[in-house]
Amino acid sequence: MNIPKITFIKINKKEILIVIGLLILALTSYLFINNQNPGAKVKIEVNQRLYGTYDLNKTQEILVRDNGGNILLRSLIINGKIHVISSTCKDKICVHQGEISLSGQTIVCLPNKVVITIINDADKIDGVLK
Amino acid sequence: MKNHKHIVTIGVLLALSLIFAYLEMILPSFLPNPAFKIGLSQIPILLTFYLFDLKSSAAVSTGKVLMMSLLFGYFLTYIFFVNLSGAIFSILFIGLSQQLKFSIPMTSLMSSLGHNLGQFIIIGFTLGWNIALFYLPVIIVFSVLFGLIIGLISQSLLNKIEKRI
Amino acid sequence: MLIVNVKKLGIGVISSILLIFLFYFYMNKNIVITQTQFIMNTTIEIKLFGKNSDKQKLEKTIAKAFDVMKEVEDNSTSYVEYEGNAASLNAHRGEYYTVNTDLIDQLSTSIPFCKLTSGEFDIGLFRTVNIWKNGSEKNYLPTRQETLNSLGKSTPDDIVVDKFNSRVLLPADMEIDLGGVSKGYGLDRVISFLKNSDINSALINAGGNIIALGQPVDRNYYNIAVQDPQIINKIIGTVQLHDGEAIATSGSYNRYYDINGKKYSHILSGKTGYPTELYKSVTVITNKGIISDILSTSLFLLSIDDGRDLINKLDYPIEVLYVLNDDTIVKSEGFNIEYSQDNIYKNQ
Repeated sequence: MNIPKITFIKINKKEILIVIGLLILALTSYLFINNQNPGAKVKIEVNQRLYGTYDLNKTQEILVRDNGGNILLRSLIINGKIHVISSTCKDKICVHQGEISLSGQTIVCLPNKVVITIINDADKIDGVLK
Repeated sequence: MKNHKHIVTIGVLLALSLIFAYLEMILPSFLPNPAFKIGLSQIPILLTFYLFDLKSSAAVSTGKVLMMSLLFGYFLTYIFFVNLSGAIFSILFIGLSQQLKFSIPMTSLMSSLGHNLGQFIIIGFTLGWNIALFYLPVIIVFSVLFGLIIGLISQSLLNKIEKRI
Repeated sequence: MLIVNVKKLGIGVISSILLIFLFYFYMNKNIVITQTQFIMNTTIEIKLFGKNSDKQKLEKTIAKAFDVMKEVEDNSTSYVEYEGNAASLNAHRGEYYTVNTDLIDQLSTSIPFCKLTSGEFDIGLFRTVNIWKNGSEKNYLPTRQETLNSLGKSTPDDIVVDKFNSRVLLPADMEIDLGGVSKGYGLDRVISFLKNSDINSALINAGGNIIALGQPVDRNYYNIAVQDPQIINKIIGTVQLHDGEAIATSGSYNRYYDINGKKYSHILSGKTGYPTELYKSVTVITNKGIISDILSTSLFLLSIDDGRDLINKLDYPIEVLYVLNDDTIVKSEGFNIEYSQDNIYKNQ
């Protein structure tokens, strides 16, 4: 077999610097994004279109359907947290992910293109009627 | 260059890669989000790259995505393209590491980073960048951690293989 | 072996991918463009929601939207004469006069309400309004006889609207004032203009009238704060306004004639020419700006029972909220309001 001689390059300074740089990038972006207060509302999007906004403090079951009316997944809001009970997708990653409750947290069901996001700016006033 | 042995070896490595991918699918994930994977199936891809060349590892990588999608019935669906984009970017990053003369663990790290970046570009375009950005820090940390671990495993395997030849 | 420098090529390809990625992210960012202008004697605020990539289009559209509002103002004002507007019509009363389509639309929608409210809502009050304006300037309280005399014998029902020829015959003893109509009508005009300009989401606030198009980024409704009738910067609560809904409020607090230190509401009864003091405010939600404007004025002048009869006669989806003089709130069942926590209002 024609196998080239493998040249084992040792981990060097340059690589360690890159790793440190990546970790710093991760840390700063984490600090930038991180504002994890308990959220007030939950937003559900299907294929990048808003499906609905729901109150996190109200226990309710939400059936998410596609345009044709077929059920994509069932989710439940209870005790200020939301989780996916069942989904028609094959990998069930969304179901296994469990509960989320902090603002910015998401449950993504990639095969169904469903994104569940906790938001807390839902009470922002858009206009005042005088 | 390409003899039968070459093709057979690549086939075996592809099969290994599929087995690892399947194992990761059925084993319970201990990571915070079950969508995150350690990337065991990257080991055969890295071996292919070091034993042969970039082209062969690209064949294994895309072959893995293709076979997995056919086996589990998501060929040509959205998930398939997400995975394919991950595979392509992963190979691009391995190629880049080769040009930059990176060590094996670092190459593995780059490959894992590329894999995630490729997936997130598709997800960002289709589901919005907010989600992609939200997961960015976690993705980087896991890429570094598991990329290095997978790289170290591959390095010791390659060491052993080289001694046998 | 490739002759090109693969290392440089690789770095180039990856960095350009990252650049495209960043550019796309920037262009795809959600933005809100807000502008205010003083039109129709009030501050009009237009908010357009869209993507960063449409910024220029949004800015151009918002300027044109204000032009639409100004056009409606010029077409409906009773104070400055333009060809075919309300002031010119007042000058040509007693004869057929060709007017603009905005005026035809407003007249044909509002005249039926004069009969439906048995004369309480009246668009022919220009002279009465002027008596009150003069009174407030000279600090003189008009007598009931004076205002009654100003009303004339004709009712808005006697106005002949010839839609086909765009002509209107105004009785000789009447002058019109579309104060309670044209703001709401202007909102409808702006919304249809925005729809034609491919704007999906907008919120237009004309003070006492708000109309919604589409939805903001994260919600399928707009949060509208309803101001307290007495205390500025305090709100009764918030209302969710959905796509196509218009909300309007009429109250004695925001516009009034100040005579001898006493406030007289600018909403005058078509029967007496005098303000009524039935409520502190009336808020209406329906699906058309002009209807919300006319109804909030009409219901402000009618008793709750008469108001209910009026609503039942109409074909629009209507929700209403009254703030009574003793601060009690009376509302229709479908009027969903989230009361602000420290409000002094008792919910009935």
